[in-house]
Amino acid sequence: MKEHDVTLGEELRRQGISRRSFLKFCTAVASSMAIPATMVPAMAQSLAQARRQSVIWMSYQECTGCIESLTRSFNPTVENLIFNFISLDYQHALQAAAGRQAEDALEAAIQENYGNYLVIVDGSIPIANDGLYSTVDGHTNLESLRHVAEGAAAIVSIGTCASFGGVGAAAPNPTGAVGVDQIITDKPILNVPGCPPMPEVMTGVLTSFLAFGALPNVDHLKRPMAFFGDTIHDRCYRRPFYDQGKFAKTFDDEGARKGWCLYELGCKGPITYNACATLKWNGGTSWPVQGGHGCLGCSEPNFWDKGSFYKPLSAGQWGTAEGIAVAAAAGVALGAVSAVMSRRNQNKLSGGK
Amino acid sequence: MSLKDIPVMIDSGSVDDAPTGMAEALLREIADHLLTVGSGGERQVVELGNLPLSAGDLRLLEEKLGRGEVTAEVSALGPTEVYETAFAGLWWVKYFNDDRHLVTQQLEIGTVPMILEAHPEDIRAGAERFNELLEVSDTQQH
Repeated sequence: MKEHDVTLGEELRRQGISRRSFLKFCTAVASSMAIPATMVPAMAQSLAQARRQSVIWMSYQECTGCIESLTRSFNPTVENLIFNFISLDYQHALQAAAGRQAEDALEAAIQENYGNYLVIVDGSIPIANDGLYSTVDGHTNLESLRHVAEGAAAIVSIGTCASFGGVGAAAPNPTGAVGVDQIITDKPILNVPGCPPMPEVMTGVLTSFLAFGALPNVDHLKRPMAFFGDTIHDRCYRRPFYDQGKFAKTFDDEGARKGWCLYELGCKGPITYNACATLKWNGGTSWPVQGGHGCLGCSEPNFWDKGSFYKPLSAGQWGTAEGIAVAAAAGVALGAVSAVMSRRNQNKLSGGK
Repeated sequence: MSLKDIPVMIDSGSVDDAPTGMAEALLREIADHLLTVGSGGERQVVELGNLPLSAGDLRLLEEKLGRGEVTAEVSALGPTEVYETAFAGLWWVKYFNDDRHLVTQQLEIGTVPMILEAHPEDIRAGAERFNELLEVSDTQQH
């Protein structure tokens, strides 16, 4: 029997991995995606019946930080089960093959699973001067992406570069770097921005693709709502200080030591959609704001071109960059609405007291 | 080296530890679930992993719920700790990875927590292996 014909449940049982493990894995994923826990048994059942998914991972103008983040995910035993669910058929940094062998493996994977494989992209794609700024095996990234995308079931852009152009597209953007969805327009595309993105998001996206047969619901920037539905500010544990008007003014003042809100030190939390405030980093140890530094907004488009990381949002820096003004204003307005709503909920929970 | 070995830490005690009122709200939700399950309704699960609970909230919740008759540990993808609280059918389930880092935790309201149940697929696979066991003991006898 071919590898792809065996269900994940059968394959993992051969390795001594029980259905309880499936259940536990799905519990962890459901928790990170805010999927109702009562759906977990059905999710586990469906995942066990899925086939191993062929994944082709293309790296373009990137720094390898994304794959560093994803392979160092915080729950080695739980999160890494995902590597049993996929067949990673091509990945520069991880594969044993090199040179001609590697490129042949890529072609073989494309032919064998044409129309069904999942493409993951990290890094931006330079399109200036016909894309000659970055080539692999004599092909520009532009040619390569178009070729690989043709037979893809869906594409997941990992990191801010593949999603929005990222650092490669920083002004003056000499290579004409862009994100995947500015080139490929006829395939389902999911953006998982972040510099780097959170490993839990990748696991969640792949698991829901396998268990539910579709990519998760997305927002207007094609980001999965489960992880990018709230701003950092909405879910920040320092939020009560913002509401009370208590702000750190410098990095070593009384407010900073007492853990007050970092808004005036340039925190971009109010207009940044990501899950850092709830999932945290490094095994749930901490995250930038808990470490005493404002959010840089690394999962938002063009975050590096929006002025100082240390100027407050009210200084207008984030409103000036091209095409951002509207999005930022909408972000702030949404933030305000959800602040009101969460306060209303709190009132309701505490009986209006 | 663990985090405890690093001598310098941000003093966030005052922020993280204070009860926020979430625990009381949860208690009301749990009371509803107990009634539902007690009158024959299906299993209910309260996911604690993605609620903004402070350390103080969790402490309060653990104190109020107490501990009951059953404690169990499951070894599958790292340990999972299960115990029944002082209220029958209200279970506290903590999912850890191999390094004993907490992955997520849930309150489960039902007769038996899901993670403790054996699954038909595993039972069938076990039955096959059991046959091999019988064959081996047969050959040893002859």
